Amino acid sequence: MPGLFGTKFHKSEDSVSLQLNGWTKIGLCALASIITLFIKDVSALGVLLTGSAILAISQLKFKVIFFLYLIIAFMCLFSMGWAYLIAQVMNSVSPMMGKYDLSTMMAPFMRMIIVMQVIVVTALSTSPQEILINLKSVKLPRFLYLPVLIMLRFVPTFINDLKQVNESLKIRGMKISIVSMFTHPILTMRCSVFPLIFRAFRSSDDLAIASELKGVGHYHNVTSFKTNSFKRVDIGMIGLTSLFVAGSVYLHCIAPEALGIRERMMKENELNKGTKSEMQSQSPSVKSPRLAKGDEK
Amino acid sequence: MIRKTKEYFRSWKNIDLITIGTFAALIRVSGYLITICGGGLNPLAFILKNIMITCLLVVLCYKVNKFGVITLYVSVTYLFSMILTGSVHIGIPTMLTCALLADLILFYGGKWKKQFAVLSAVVFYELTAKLSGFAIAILYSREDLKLMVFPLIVVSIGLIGSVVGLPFGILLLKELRHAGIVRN
Repeated sequence: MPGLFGTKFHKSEDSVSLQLNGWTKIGLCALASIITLFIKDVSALGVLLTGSAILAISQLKFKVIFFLYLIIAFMCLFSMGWAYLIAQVMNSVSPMMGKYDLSTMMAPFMRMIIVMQVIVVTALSTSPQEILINLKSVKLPRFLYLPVLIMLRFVPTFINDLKQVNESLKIRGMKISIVSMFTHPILTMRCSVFPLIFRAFRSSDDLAIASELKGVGHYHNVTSFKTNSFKRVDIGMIGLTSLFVAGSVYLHCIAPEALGIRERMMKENELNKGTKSEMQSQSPSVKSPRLAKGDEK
Repeated sequence: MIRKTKEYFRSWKNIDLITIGTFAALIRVSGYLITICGGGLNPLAFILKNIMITCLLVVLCYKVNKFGVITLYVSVTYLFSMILTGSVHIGIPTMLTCALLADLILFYGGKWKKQFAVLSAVVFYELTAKLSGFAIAILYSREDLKLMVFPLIVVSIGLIGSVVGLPFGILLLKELRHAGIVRN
């Protein structure tokens, strides 16, 4: 998340997400995660997916977006593979639990993509200072907002540290993988995890010094040079978001009834139930001659 | 009482809070990385993730020697996920209770002078947090308990990882003491 450094914003200063207020972005994240919980319909989720994709593309960081899609595709394929394997194993235990249907996996992945797109926009366009101002505006205590701020700030530093440790291992001619974690656990821990933690401690010391110098630990009101106000862009974004949400809610709740899809589904279900009950009622009549024979005996 | 509480919260130095934040980020990011590299529902990735979490929690308990470390770590982690991902966790009260109990075990079990107290507090937190999460999952799918077979497997694999992570935590602590980073 290079945007969290707050130094690389000049590349896409025209993007809408940079002009948005921090709370608008956080609200978008919350809304995306809550609404995707309730909506099950694939077409309704598709509307939300389109909206979040537009928001992500408006970020004007196409390489990052492409990389994000690549990761999502990789995760989806891998999870599908694992789910298929598990379904095969479960199928041997009980056929009810071993059902594997690709169409039912569409909705969860769509939910994941929607939420990830909105989160990426928030992470790439919000500077730590902006989040600090927002957290202070709700009067959160220092022992809560400072670690949260550090969590946000530390992510890009940690990724840089990972790269450096990886490069140093390459120079030494060592190859570390998940398999080596189980074949040579202590060596892998010493070579990959321990240096990372050492660097984490060093960066936490640096950040502590920086926070002391900025006067975070003192109990006086520190004035900030950035203001936390709503602009026209925020209002426009809220309007657009509500349009997309209304569209998806319409597709989820109202459209099936208006188009008669729900009624058709109900009828089909009733028909299915009817055929099942007929089958059940027929089955004793087939068995009755055998029972009669048993009775005779 | 209020004055004492205020004094307690003011006694948290910047360096302590920053260390908690750093470790919370470290645990979160390494967890994500292991999950991505392991490919979602991979039992090896589950074990590895839990080893990392336990290992780092042991170090965090030694580095920040104050009452309420685990509780603060849990509250910060959930606040972070609430702000960034907007997720609303039903398990927050239970997790905070588990963390507080673990802190009490750590505090009354001999603080940071006894290794057993730290290890038992971390194991207690991991165990109770996972079990409470599992109990909430049961609550959600109470109509069909067959569905809980897979979460049960995942939770038990995670617990194995947590227990395996303890010796790694001690090993890491030795390295950190040797480097002079942890002095307790």
